[in-house]
Amino acid sequence: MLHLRRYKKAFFLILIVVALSFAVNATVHNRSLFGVLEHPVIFVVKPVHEAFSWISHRVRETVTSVSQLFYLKRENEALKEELQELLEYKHKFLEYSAENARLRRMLEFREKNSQYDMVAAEVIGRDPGNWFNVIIIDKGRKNGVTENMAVVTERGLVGYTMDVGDDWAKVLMLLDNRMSVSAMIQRTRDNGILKGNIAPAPPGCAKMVFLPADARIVKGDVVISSGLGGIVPKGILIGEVVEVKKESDNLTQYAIVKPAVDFQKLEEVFVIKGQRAVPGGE
Amino acid sequence: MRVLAYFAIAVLLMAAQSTLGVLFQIGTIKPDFVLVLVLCVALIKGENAGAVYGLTIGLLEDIVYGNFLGFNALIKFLTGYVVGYGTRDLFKGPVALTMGFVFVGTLLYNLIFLVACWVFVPGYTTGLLVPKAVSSAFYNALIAPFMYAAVMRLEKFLNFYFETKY
Repeated sequence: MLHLRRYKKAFFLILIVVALSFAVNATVHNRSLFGVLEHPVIFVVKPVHEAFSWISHRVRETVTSVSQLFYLKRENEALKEELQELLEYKHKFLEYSAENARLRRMLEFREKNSQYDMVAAEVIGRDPGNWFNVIIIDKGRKNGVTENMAVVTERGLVGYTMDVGDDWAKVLMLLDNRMSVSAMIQRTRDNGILKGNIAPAPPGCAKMVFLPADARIVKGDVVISSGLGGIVPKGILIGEVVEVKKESDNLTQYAIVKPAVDFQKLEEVFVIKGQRAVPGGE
Repeated sequence: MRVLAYFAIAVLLMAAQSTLGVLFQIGTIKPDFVLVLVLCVALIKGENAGAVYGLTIGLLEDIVYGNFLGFNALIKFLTGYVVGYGTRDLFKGPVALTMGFVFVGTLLYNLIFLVACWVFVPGYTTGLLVPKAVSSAFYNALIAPFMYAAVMRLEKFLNFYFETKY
């Protein structure tokens, strides 16, 4: 009886193995048989799956967030360093970009004014006080710069050299009260003397005096150098008239001139050493 | 009712295995909670329960995830039966022994899997079976004591609920 039960059990065991083998073999060759069972069971199991999947995602997100906290400080420091480096690059880039634009303008100016023998110089110093308008440039006698040479930029006249060393020179700028340069109104050809920032010129403007009383000067007229006096060559832009008034004696009139050059932003200038002989000219 | 309870646990554990299993993944190896459950049932309740439970869970796995009906069922059925039969007269008290049985049971499961692949799916390449089988056996052995304790508690609860109380 016991043997019979044992055989019965073995028989069942073999039967199940054979049945399963048959099922595997059948579905290996014909998968469509599978679909009959697959769909309803997956339909039942799917909600459970979705619930567990949701839990899994939340847990993974939380675990990832927590584990990231350990790296965040280090990453933050690295990013700050990188940001600092990039900001430096950005500043340098902007600086080079602005310098490039300035140098291009200056090169263009130099090419357009090839009749002048010019030397480019960099502004290395500025008078710290409020009373004098003087800059120091990095070119001096070694570069052929001497006293009383006109200093210009692509925008116009800056001033002239007043004191020169071996590799530096001091430039008296247009707005300095000691300045005195011969100028003319471009449209009417009336001559005058451009003084510095003297009364009643407002800050940032110069006074042009000794203009004829009958000169028909109007606001917006362009002022250029007249070439008289021998320091500044003729025709260099100085600025434009912003106001015209008669002097108290009614014999002359004066003009308030706004210089074309922005003296606060000077970085590179040209020193006009002299005039070249024009090819083909006398 | 007991069958339904085990079936519900099987469904939940299978869904948890397929979704939460990745949380426990080390490298490419995940613990096989379902297999460990089958092995623990086989250890506690013997070869018949192990085989039936293996067959049921295997069939469910085949239907939901598998490609061939009966493939997992056959492997888990045979594993549950052999482990239950082989440990029938052995003392299973210490944790180390439970871990050892589950370790060997997982290796046996992988061996049967390999043979079944040879027989039924000739084109299927199993790849690095030995390192995969050994590392998953280690991992399963680590979780075996917890699963074993859980099944024991469940059995006690079910015995109390269905046999003592009512």
